[in-house]
Amino acid sequence: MPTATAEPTVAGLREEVRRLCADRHRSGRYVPRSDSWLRSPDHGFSKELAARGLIGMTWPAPYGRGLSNVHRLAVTEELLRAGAPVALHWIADRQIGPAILRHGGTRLQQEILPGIASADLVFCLGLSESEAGSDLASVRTRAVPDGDGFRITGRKMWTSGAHHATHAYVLARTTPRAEGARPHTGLSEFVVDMASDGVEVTPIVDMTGEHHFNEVTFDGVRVPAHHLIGERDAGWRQVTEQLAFERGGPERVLTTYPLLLQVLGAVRDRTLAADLGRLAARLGVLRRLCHGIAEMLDAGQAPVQEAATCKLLGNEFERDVLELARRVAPTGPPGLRRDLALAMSASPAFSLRGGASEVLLSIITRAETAS
Amino acid sequence: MSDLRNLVRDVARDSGDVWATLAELGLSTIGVPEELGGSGGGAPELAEVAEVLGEHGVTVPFAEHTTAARALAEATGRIPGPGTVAVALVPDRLTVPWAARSSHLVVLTPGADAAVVDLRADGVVVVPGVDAAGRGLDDVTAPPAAVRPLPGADPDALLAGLALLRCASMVGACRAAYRLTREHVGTREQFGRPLVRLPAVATALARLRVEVLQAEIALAAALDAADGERALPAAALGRVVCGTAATEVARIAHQLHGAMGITREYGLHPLTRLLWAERDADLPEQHWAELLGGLVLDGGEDRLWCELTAGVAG
Repeated sequence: MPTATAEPTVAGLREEVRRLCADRHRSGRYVPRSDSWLRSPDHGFSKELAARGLIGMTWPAPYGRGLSNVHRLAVTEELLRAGAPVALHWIADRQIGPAILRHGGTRLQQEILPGIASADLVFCLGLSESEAGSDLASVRTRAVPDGDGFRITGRKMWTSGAHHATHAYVLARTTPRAEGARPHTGLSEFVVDMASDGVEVTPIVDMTGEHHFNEVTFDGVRVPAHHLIGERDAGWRQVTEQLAFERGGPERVLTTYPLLLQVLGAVRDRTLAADLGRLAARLGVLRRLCHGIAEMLDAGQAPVQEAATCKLLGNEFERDVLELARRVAPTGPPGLRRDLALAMSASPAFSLRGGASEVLLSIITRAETAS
Repeated sequence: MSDLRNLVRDVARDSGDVWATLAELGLSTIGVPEELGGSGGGAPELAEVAEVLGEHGVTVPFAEHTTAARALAEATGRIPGPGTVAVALVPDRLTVPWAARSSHLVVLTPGADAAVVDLRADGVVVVPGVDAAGRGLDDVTAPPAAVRPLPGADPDALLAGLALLRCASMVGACRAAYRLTREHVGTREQFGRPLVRLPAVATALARLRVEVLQAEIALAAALDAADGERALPAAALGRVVCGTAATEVARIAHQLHGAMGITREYGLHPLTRLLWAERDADLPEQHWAELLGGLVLDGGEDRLWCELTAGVAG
């Protein structure tokens, strides 16, 4: 863990990340692409960011630099803008670290957080199951007390990056669902070492032909007691909180930004000015919304509705970048057509992962009609 | 809630002549320094008043008069009388809000100095008309003798300020239309339960809320940039976002209200008609989109990221 001297400025952080990405891109060490936060694992790049103290930067000492979420947003925005290969540390930095900080015990924090900040530990998210997609509360994976720990049995689906992961975050049922009881009770969150006996990762190739997600089975996997995050059976509240981190970030807006960058390089006339202006206007709103969410997180709030709105509108923006790219592609460079084809195949997932748009709309309605 | 907001709300709810009362209270010259005969204040106060007026669906020449007053006071040192403002894309054809009840018209022509037209001068012809909100929107032809240059006024700053007020008015009307709709679908029963229990209705209500939120964010961004060097692009962004939101809000609010919403006595149409008018007032929404897109094309991705969409992100 590097020790930072003076607190960096937001502008300084932006400049640092811009320079790093430009250098690495120019020297051919990565190719910018859409969806890079999910599809571009690069151990060297993640280690470089870690060495600069850019992973876990919001966490308090001794684990991080105690910077604000607004500082972090400057870094994440610039990384996404550059289409940088950040997939290995993205999830852990975004939501696992914060969850362990908020709810995990000291021993778990000491065991896990330094490894995330140094990019040596890689996390995947064990949330969805074949029978629990949008309806997360109906997970069937069980964690049964076993001596001074638990044994986890179940099967997680669509687990991005599980084949690179050293650890999984797993949502499991610790108390069987009683007749008539709300499904949201009796769930708990765990950290599972992927090297444990009984963990098996099976690839699921997606429609782009790439392998980024997996099926992960847990067959009586032994988990020590201190790997329970927070309170037993109180996992649901913690998950919904975590989802605010998961949904309210710039990766819900900028997934196709590298494609937009190529479009801008290829547009030759002004017939697209109005469409470009409309996209720019939406981007301005979304970036400001992300900023507002970062400020709310800094103030200790859980911006559930704002994050849902951000993801809903951000996904629509990402998709409409593709629509603009379609119009430029025929006369654009081959790289543009390649990235468009890839982003197109990746696009159905944009408005599914992290909560389907329909679920987000229902979250927004609920917040509105309750008030 | 601020005192100003409360004051305007009380005036807007009063059944009397809202514009006359606002003028008596000195609210028609906000944004003009006191030493030039105005009431002082700036963009935040102007936007606040415009927003509350929009919230009540009030149609008065607030945006036009305050903009003209600022232009004339800055250029000539005084406010000559009831003023209005128009943007002239084609110099000899003027479509002017409230021309029939104004004495002075400030003309903003992109890429040129501002000018002032004495609307009471000989040879000036005003053909009255109305916009979608029922506000005066008149055709004006003026002989050259009635037109004087206004070199002391900054056309871009005036245009940005005017656009900001249109945004504020749209945000107010959007918010009020949302509140009316939420109330309606929460209480009106069909099929034995409140409308909002129908999933399709609940989804449409959420969409409505999301549109209002976008307009609010764009207004806040335009306000932050007001009076600075990025005021015009920020106002253009606001006009595009608020205009798009206005279209969606009016459509969804009416859809969810059913036939109730299209009756004269119900309070929705003053809001939706105002929204329809404001989104293309002065310059159509499409023009603002082209302006913003042109800036992106000229300045490239760097300008898009670092200037036009950075906002508070820095």
